[in-house]
Amino acid sequence: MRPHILWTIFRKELTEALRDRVTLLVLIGLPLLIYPLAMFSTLQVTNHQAAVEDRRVFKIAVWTVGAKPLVDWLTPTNNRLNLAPWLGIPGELRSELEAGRLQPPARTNLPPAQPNPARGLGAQSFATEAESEGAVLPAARAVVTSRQADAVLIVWPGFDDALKRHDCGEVSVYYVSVIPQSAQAWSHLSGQLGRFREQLRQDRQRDRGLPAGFVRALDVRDGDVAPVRRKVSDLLGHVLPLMLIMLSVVGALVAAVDMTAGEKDRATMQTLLCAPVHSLEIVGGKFLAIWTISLISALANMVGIGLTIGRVAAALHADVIQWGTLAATLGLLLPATWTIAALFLAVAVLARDVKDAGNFLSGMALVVMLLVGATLLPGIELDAWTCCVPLVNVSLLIRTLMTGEVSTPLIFVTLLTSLAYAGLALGLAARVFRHEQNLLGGSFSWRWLVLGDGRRNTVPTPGLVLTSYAVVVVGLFYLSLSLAPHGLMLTLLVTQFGLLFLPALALALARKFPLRQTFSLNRPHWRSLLGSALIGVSATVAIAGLVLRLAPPPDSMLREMQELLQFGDQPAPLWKLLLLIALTPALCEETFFRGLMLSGLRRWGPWAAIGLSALLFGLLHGSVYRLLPTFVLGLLLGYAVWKSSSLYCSILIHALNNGVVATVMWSSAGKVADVQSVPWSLTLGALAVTILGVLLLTGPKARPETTVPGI
Amino acid sequence: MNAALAAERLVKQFDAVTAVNGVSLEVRAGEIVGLLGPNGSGKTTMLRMLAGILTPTAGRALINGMDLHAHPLEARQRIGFLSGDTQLYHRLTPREVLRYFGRLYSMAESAINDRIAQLVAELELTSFADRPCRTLSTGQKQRANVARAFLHQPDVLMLDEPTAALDVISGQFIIDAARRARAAGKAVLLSTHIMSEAEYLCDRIYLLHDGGITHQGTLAEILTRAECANLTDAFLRNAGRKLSNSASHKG
Repeated sequence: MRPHILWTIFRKELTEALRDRVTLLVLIGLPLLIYPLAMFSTLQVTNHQAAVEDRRVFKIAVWTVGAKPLVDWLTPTNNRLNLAPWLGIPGELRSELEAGRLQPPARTNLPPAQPNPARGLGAQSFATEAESEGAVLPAARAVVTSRQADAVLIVWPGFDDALKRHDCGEVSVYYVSVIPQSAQAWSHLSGQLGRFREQLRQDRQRDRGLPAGFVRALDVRDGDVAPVRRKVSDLLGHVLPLMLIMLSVVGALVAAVDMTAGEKDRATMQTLLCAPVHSLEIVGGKFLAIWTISLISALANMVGIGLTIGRVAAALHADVIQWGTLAATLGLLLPATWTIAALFLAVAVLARDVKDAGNFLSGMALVVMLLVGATLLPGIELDAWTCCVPLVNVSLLIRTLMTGEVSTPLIFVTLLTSLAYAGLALGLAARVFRHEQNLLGGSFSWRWLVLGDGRRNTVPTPGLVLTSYAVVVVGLFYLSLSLAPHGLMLTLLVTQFGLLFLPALALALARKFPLRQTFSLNRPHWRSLLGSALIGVSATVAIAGLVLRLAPPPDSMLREMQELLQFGDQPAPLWKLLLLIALTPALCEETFFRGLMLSGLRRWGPWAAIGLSALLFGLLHGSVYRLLPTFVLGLLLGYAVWKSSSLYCSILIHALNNGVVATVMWSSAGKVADVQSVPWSLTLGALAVTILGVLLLTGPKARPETTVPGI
Repeated sequence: MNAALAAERLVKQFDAVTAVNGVSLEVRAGEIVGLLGPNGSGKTTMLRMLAGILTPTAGRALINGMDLHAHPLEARQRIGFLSGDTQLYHRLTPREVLRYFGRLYSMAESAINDRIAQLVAELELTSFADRPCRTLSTGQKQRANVARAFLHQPDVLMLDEPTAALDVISGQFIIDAARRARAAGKAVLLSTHIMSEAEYLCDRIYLLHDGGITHQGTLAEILTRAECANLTDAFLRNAGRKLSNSASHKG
C-alpha cells in the first residue's frame, strides 16, 4: 500500500464528488439551512398554538338538575368555560335524569392513570370506567365526537342532597382523549372541579372548627432538581446519535454509489484497472473519499444543529450547551463514519450498476437505522456486549458522552471494534475489487467470493491477514464474554487456540501456503537464541521501568491482573500460571502475529510489517493501559523474527517475558508489585541486557536460503 | 531480439465459455501488430489479459520478459491501454485526468507537467484541455484518451478498436499517434475491425477466430496463404463466410 497512490485516488475522488453541485447541496447546503428553518418554523407554530390555546374557550355540555353551587362556581371563574345546559342530550335520557332515575356508574378499583384533582368530588374518568354506562356513554360520546361540545359534564341525581349532608356528590366528565381540544377541555374542567372540591373541604373544616390541613393531612411538594443542561444533554444523547448516523449514511450512500457503480456505468473503471495500482489501494483511496464525504455530511449537520440549539439557548438565556461534549461527539463521528463508509463501499462494489447499488444501499441504510434505532429502547446501555455491536456501540457511546457517564475501557473497545468492522468491510471490498467480471459490469459470483478463482498466492496477502485479524478481534470479544462465566482457564485456552493458533494454521493449510516460509519455521542461529533469551528475561523489567512510568495503569487494572493469578479463592500453582500465561500465549499469539500476519505484511516492507503487526498485537490486548507496553513488546518480537528468520525466537522471548511476569507476581503472593517502584538502576540494567539481546539478533540468519522475498 | 509483448498459450474461461483458447503471440519493439477477428472472437478479452485487467485462466503474458501476473505493478508501468469505449472522468478536465494518471504511474510532478505540455501540443488538445470532459465531443475525448495512454511513455501500447465511432479526422489522430509510437520504438498491438487500417498500418497481423489464432504473418504472407486479394476477403474466409466476390478469388 503506497501512501502517495492512496492520496492521489482519494484526492481525485473527493474533487469529483465535490464538483457535483447536487451532492454539495444535499450534503452541506441542506443541513446548514434545514435546522434553523425547522427550528424557526417550529417555534413560530408552537408560539402561535400557545397563543391560540390561551384564548381558547371550551364548550361544556352540562347535563344536570340543580347543582347550582357547582354551576355557579364554574361560570364566573373565567371566561374559558362556556357551559351549555342540556346540550345534545337525547330527550329520553334527559327525562330519566330529571326524574332522578339515573345512577352514577359503579366505581372500579383501577388506579387513575394520573393524579386527578377532581377525584374527591366523585368525578368519573371516562376512558376506563364509562364503558358500562348504558345510554349515557353513547350519548356523551356522540356530543363530543360530533363537536357539539368539547366535553360533557353530568351531575348525577342526589348531588345537592349529598352536599347538604356533607357527603360526596358525584359528577362525571366525558371527553374523547384522541380529540386534542376535548382532552384540553377535560384538563381545564378537571382543574376547576378540583378547586371547587378544595373549597368544599375548607368550608366543611371551617364549619366544624377543624384546622385547614385536617383532611389533606400531608402536603407533598415535588421538584425535579435535574439541571436544564443535564436534561438537554439527555435529550441530545438520545436524539443526536440517531440523527448523526442517519445523516452520515446519506453522505456515504451518495458517495459510495457514485464511486463504484457510477464508475462502472461511466466506463472509467477499465482505465483505472490497467494502471499500476493494487486493488487495495483503489479501495483504500475510495474508502477515504467516502469517509470524508460522510464526515463532511455529519459535520455540516452538527454545525447546523449546534448553531440552532445555540441560537435557541441564547434566546432563552440558558447555558445549556456543553461545547466540550459536542466537540468530543465530533471526534466520535470518526469511528461512526468510517464503519459506515467501509460497509457501504463493500456493498456498493457488489452492484452491477447504479440502480443495483441504490437498491443494495437503501436496504443497508434501513438495517443501519434499525440497529441505531434499537438504542432508543429502554434498557439498552453501553456495556461489554453492546460496545462490540457495530454502530450501536458508537451511538451508545455518544449518548454516554452526552450524559457524562463515559468509561475509558468501553471507549477503547468501541473504537477497536469499529476499526475491526471497518477492516473487515474493506477486506471484503478489496476482494470484490479483484473480481474482474464484476468490475467490468458483469454479474457478481458469490461462489468466487468464497472460493476464489483457483489461483493461489504462495504467501498470505496483507488483505487476507488484516481480514483475519478483524475476525479475531470481533470473535475474541464475543467469545471472551460468552466464556467468562466458565472461568479464566477455559476462556484463555479457547480464545488462544480457537481464535489464534488453530485458525492461523488452518488458513495456511487451506490456502496451501508453505508452512515453513509462512510461519518462519527455521532453526535459529545460536546467537539469535541467546539474544532472544536475554530479551525475554529483561524486556518486561525494562518496559515496566520505562513505559509504565509514562502511563501508569489504574488500580482497577492491577486488581484484574491480581485476580488473573488466582483461580478461585486460592492462588494458582506456578506450573498452571506458566502454562496459561506464558506458554499458551507465546505459542498461539506468535503463530498468528509473527507467523501469519508478519508474513502477510512483509510485502509492505519490514518496518511497516513489524510496526503494524506490533500495533495490532497491542490493540488485541483490549486495554488502553496495556497498549503501549504490548506494542513495544510486539516491536521487539517482530524485529527478532525479521532478523533471525525464525518464529522460535519470538516464541522464546514471549514465553520468557510472560514467565518472568507470572513468576514475580506469584512469588509476591498474589500482590501486584507497584510498577512505578522499579528502581532506575534495575530498569537501566534490564534495558542494557535487552539491547545486548537485540544486538545479538543482528548476527547471521540461520537459514538464509529460506528468506522470504521482499524483505 | 526479445519481444516487448508476448502471450504464451493464453486461455480465458468465463464459466463454461472459453473466450480465448491457447493463444500465443508476440510484438517486438518498433512494430505495429494487428489483431483481427469478428465480434466475439476474443480480441478484447485477449487485450484485457495482456493489459492486466483480466487474469488468464492459463498461460502467461510477458512485458519485456516480465511475467505480468507475477509482477503486475512493474509490468503495468510499461503498458499503455486505449480502447474505443473507454470514457474519461466527467467532472475533471483532460489536464486533470492526465495529472491524475501521471501520479498513479508514479511520475515526478515536473515530468508530469512537461509531458502534459508536450502531449497537449502534439495532439492539439489546447482548446479543450481545461474544459470538463463531459462537455467534450467523442473525438476530443478520444484524443484526450490517447494522451492518457501515451502519458507515461510505455514500451507497449495496446489499442482496442481505438477508432471505433470516430470520424475520419479524429481517427487519423489515432493512426498518426500509433505511427509515431512505432517510430519511437514502441511495440503496438492494434485490435481493429477496419481492414484498410490494418492493411496500411500493421507490420504483422494475427487473425483470431473462436478464441484461437488461424493466420499470422505479414499482410503479404496472409494474403498468399489465404489465397485472397485483400484483407477483407481473407478476414471473411477466416470467419467462415462465403466470399462476397468470387471473382476476387485467386487461381
